[in-house]
Amino acid sequence: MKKIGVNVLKLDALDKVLGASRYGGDYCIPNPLYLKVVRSDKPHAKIVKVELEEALQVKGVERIFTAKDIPGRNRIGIIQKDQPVLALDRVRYVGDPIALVAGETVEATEEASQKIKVTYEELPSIKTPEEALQPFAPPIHEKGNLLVEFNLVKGDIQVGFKEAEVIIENTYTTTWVDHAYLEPDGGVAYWDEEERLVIICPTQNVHYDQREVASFLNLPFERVRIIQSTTGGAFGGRLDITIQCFLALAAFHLKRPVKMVYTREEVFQVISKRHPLKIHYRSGARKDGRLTAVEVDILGDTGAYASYGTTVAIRAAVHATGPYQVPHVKVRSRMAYTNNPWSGAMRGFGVPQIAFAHESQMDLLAQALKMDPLEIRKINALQIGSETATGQVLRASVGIRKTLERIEEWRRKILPSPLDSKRPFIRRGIGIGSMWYGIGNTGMANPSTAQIELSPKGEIILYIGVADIGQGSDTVLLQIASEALGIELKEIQLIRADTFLTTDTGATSASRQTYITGNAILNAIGNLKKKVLQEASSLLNEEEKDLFVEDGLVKHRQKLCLGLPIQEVARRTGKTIRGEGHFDPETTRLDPETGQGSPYATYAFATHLAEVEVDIETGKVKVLRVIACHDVGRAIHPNNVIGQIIGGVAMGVGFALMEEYDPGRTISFVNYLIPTSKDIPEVIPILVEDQEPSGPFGAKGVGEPALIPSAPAILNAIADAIGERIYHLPANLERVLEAVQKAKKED
Amino acid sequence: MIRFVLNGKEIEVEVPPHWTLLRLLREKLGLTGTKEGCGIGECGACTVLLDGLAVNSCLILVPKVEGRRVETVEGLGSRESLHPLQRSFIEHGAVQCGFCTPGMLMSAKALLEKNPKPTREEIKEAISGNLCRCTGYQQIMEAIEAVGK
Amino acid sequence: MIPPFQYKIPKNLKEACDLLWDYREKAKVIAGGTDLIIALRNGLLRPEFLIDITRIAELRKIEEKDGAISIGGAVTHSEIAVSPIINTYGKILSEAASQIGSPQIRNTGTIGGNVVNASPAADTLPPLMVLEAMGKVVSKEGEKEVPIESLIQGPYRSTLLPHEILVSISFKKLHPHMKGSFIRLARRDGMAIARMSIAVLLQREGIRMKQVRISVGAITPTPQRMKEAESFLEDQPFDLERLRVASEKTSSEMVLRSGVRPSTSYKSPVVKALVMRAIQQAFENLQ
Repeated sequence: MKKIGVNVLKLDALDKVLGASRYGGDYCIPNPLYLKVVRSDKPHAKIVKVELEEALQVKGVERIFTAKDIPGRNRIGIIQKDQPVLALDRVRYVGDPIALVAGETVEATEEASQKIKVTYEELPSIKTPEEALQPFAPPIHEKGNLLVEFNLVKGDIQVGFKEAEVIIENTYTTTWVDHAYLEPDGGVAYWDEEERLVIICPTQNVHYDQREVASFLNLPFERVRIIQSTTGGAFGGRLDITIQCFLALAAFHLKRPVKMVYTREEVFQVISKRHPLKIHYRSGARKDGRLTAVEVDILGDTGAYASYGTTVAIRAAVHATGPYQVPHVKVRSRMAYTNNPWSGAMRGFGVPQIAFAHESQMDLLAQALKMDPLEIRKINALQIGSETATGQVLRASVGIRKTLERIEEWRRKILPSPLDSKRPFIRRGIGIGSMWYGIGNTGMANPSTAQIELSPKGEIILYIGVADIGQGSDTVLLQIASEALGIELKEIQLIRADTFLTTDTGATSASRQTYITGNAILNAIGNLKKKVLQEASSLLNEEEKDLFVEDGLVKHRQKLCLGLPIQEVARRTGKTIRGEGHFDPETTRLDPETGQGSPYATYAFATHLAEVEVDIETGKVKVLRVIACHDVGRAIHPNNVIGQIIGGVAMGVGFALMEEYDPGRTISFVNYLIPTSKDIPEVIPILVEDQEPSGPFGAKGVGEPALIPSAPAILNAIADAIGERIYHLPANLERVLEAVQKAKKED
Repeated sequence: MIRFVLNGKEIEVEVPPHWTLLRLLREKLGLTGTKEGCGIGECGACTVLLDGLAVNSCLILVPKVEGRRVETVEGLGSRESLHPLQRSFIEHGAVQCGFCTPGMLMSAKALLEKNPKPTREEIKEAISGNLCRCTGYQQIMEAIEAVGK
Repeated sequence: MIPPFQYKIPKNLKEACDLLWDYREKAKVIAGGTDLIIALRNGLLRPEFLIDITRIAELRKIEEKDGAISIGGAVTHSEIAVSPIINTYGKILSEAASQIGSPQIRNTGTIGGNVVNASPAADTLPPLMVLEAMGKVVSKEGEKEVPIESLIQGPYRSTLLPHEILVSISFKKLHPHMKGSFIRLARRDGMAIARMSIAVLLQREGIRMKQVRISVGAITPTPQRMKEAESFLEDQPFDLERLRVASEKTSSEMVLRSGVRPSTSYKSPVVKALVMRAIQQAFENLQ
């Protein structure tokens, strides 16, 4: 294990500190046309007429496209294809694209976009999912306003509540959260010499983009090439199509290079958001703290389009119990269309929201039972042999209890703080939040691929379609390859995230790339070694069974002096030796009636402890410290893992205290606040490495788990500090003060 | 015609007065290391130094730089000879997506020039105008602190 | 995108006044530009000329003269925050200046700009009001010295005419027994618009409060002094009950000026608490 558990140099870091990395907007192409999208200012309307004449007169305007110019399918979407790239006859939210202006300068496109006249016939607009599901609500899409209903049933919920000696029931709500990745979407497109349409832009999945663009333009896949630019953060917001189809449409028709970059205001208006969920949660436990029943009803707002709404509904339901054993479970999870901004994937797919609910419930149960919040979690924590709410029996790597124990050690060191006489308005509190997170897509095929190649020139090349979005997958995956091959990192070339050169690895999402593509790489290397041995056998005139590969050398079991570098094998045979790799985690489909099955091959676990200070006169909360303990299986690159955890906590602070996207009012970073360096707590990351036997060198995943427990821990700490609970995120100044006032009244 | 010192070199460039310094750097001078994250001075991705002080280049009209000194990330260090801050950022895992990195480095440089051994609180203050969504700032602060020591 | 304009950089005040006299409404004065450029970018303003006043030496000075401190209109927030003169004779202003926006904004934005932009949440206005600052306004027609309050007409509207320049802001050196406090509340600790700000100056004589000055920001249409609360406290002994009543008066004044809004139920108790806190702090600073 020379390359695993080691902080090797992050591959992209050097170019990034030099300012030399090229993000979407940094590509310079000769003589481009610039693009600007014209959007709906109505939440729900029929388009009666689009008048372009005046806009076309603007000097420098080359052409204006509408839905009629689309040669292929004008419908995109990861699961349900319900989202037009350019609206033909109807708009469903404020921001729906209607026309695309191409011009010689950005100024010309801006001027023209203001001169396009759209005549609408307004339709009643739906603002809440409850409204959307009323019997005679106007349908936003042909099939109605209910996107999905998912049910999960385990045991007998009636029995469960009968066995309960204490029952806690509450409703929790969360609101829209923006990814706030720092790089606004931008990119370029052009035709290359081989008549391929090339698009370079930030993304989380080049192969998905290729499929969407190809069918949108009615081109064969191989005539569309997507190359991922350096990507300035994503967090799920770049799983859906952003600018790809606009770039594609214009380049397709104009036969000239095109470029576009969104303004920050556009990013806020038109990129997906975290789903607002309304969670009605009822849980029961015995006097000894054991959970007997959990019944949850989830209703989410997917906005105008489906995007990942179905995934979020199902994943939230599957994770609804939290990392605990519950014999009787009933969950109904629904997602409705509204005329609000569309929601999609946002770091955690519904789990951050549901964790806020289940962790609040755990603290309330502990309070009702006069138990220690850590104790009640330990009593109920999943362990090896436990059966989850979907009936999956966990076989290995269940580190939740270890994370609780490590947090308990830390908690012992925290002394109760006496009132500060200088600041009598400050109350301190501590809180715990735990979570579990299934790695990879939920209950569906979830494959990845990889190739490793030895060239006759002696090069070693790893091909992966994975989009590194800043988290460091390029580095980690290369470490896995280096370790498995026994060859130095710097001797392996990496070719990545380009549809022309690499094969489909699925999205950089669901904390899946280390585990799934990591395994595909191991599979490729296994296959490469077999081929190398075959070649070496004839080359060296030795029995294949006597040969093996170690430390990048072909060795002989008896002739100890033999050690032929694997690159030499390719060089001497003059052949390209290629190992194909594939991996699809072992999962089963969830039963459509009961939601039972094994949706993930492995789960990550974590517990955070937050220490907060609440100003009871202003409602201002300061998070002082977060101890963040994560079971990651195995940390391939500990510094990267720690980076994910600290960054996740910061995002969790935002989710807990300040982030709320208010449609129509939130414009930019002026009124969408994310934590600054002065708003973040000290973070103490602790790694628990309960190795996952099916993971590459024992690894699982950490990207989303890093974020999930922070907000629950912070909210529990606030409740501890002020003696009253907040049920709606974010716990902004107003909500905290209101809770303080409520606590005072109850006293 | 605007004349100023860019990364130690005097330059002269023809540019209309309604262009921002950010636009000049990126679109005319090809220095794309300086990033545009919001265009209204709320994210710090476009931070450069003007006479040694950190400013948002998206809020500086080009006539403002006439006769002054501008420093961007491209002038900080080179592949062969990194600035200590650049090396420290790499070593401390302070770089994830990297979009905030150039601005962050420039804010840190402005701080260290005035205050070679800053405290953690002073570092927090100095980078409080630079948003980062990936790292949670801690490793960035550690990287700056290490250079100060 | 920012629309085109002509850019003029006068070298002295006279030149600036002449340019503004000629161009009038077609021109806008630019100092730091941190607010102006956003307005240009968002299409809210379309001037034909920008007159940059930051290279006029007179506007870039902090001076102490005849018992008063004078700050040029184009002095930046950073310069105010670290100025020894202001830290000595008007600490409340340097404290407020050091909390504005971000380091980048403070290095660019100016005090004159902050005043003239007339944001309800302008950070320098409450301190300037308790310092009873005066603004020196110059134009081709002449020169006048006016109280800072009278420069503000309403939210984002100053009383300056298109051809006038706010050349400097001055206040009398504070009596050594006069101390202050500044409290700023925002949704976030870095880079956020104030949700509420309170500036208090007071002088103490034994247990009595002399010369009480209270000003608020972000909770009334324009920052303003809280005269009723001030006179209620003036010459009175320092006691908590009295402070409580004074803070109630501040809150009523806020409702009177701003009306009852959805935010009132939050702001009302908070302004009371913070006014009390600010006065207590100022009083303690005098011990």
